[in-house]
Amino acid sequence: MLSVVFILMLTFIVPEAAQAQSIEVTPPTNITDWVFNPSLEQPQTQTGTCVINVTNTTDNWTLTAQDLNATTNGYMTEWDGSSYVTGGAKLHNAMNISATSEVTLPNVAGTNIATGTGNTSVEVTFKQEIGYSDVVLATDTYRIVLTFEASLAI
Amino acid sequence: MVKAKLLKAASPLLVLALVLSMMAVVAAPQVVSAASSTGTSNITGNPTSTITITAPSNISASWSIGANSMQPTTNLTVSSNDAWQVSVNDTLCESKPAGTGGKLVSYNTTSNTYETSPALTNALGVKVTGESVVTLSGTAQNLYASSQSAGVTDQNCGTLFNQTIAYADVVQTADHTYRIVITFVGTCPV
Repeated sequence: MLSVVFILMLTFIVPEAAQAQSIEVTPPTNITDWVFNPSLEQPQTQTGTCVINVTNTTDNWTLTAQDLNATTNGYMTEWDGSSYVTGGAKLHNAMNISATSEVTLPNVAGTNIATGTGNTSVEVTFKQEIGYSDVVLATDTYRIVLTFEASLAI
Repeated sequence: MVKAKLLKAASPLLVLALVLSMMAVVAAPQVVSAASSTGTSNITGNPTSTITITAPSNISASWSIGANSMQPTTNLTVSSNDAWQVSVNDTLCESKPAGTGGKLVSYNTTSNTYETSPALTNALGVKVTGESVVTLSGTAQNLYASSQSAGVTDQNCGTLFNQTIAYADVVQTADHTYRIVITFVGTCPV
């Protein structure tokens, strides 16, 4: 009977490799009041850092960047401070996001911009082509919201 | 006898426990509490009012008495993302003599310097297709303006230079010519 109890106890000791896995992403800091200049080298760029934390140093992960808003659909769009302006201006070129790979927004397919193992800080570059046809907004601003998703590759 | 009975009763349990423990060791199931994580970044921005111009190409010409018109090989071109204007001026750069604003002046092509005189009788005129002629002076004057805010890229502004030659305008010697440098300035927004 004691042997039975001992073996039953062994059954419920979880091996180290089976500890709960989890992943957490901290996206790049917001970019506010980006000043675009069509006379400078294109595309214009800004950089940020995406931090990925995982439970185990051996955990593999993938990272995507998407624009999930149907109104913007990959293009910075006129924003009045509280909502996108109906029929408002849009930049003529979609934004590109680059890490170890580059995607053009909206990236509906969810193509990865980076893959890796363990805790990692990923440098992300935001690339925006600007032309003279991109009108200057007098009071509003152009806006886009990017969604970064980090997933465990099991 | 009692011991044997106990062993017999415990056997199925023992087997089950052994099987379960083997499964735990062999299978080592992975428990995932969070397979993915998302976060958002907000980006806002706006273009700054910008204008880029390319001045017309240089002109070298032989003129006759009376009115002469000259077209450059390349015209004034303008790129702007806001309402813009272009002005012209003779800034008397390169030590062009004072009081000669807008007029071509004798220029030594060997030493590359202006002479103090003579200057042509009449000032040079500049115009863009569809616009009025601007007679150059030492003061900036509006040549062409657009209120269009939709933005233009490499707009070709047909350019023409007009020069009236008088009998009083002496013919230059071989190592001299008449010369002027015109300054074009683009401004936006207006």
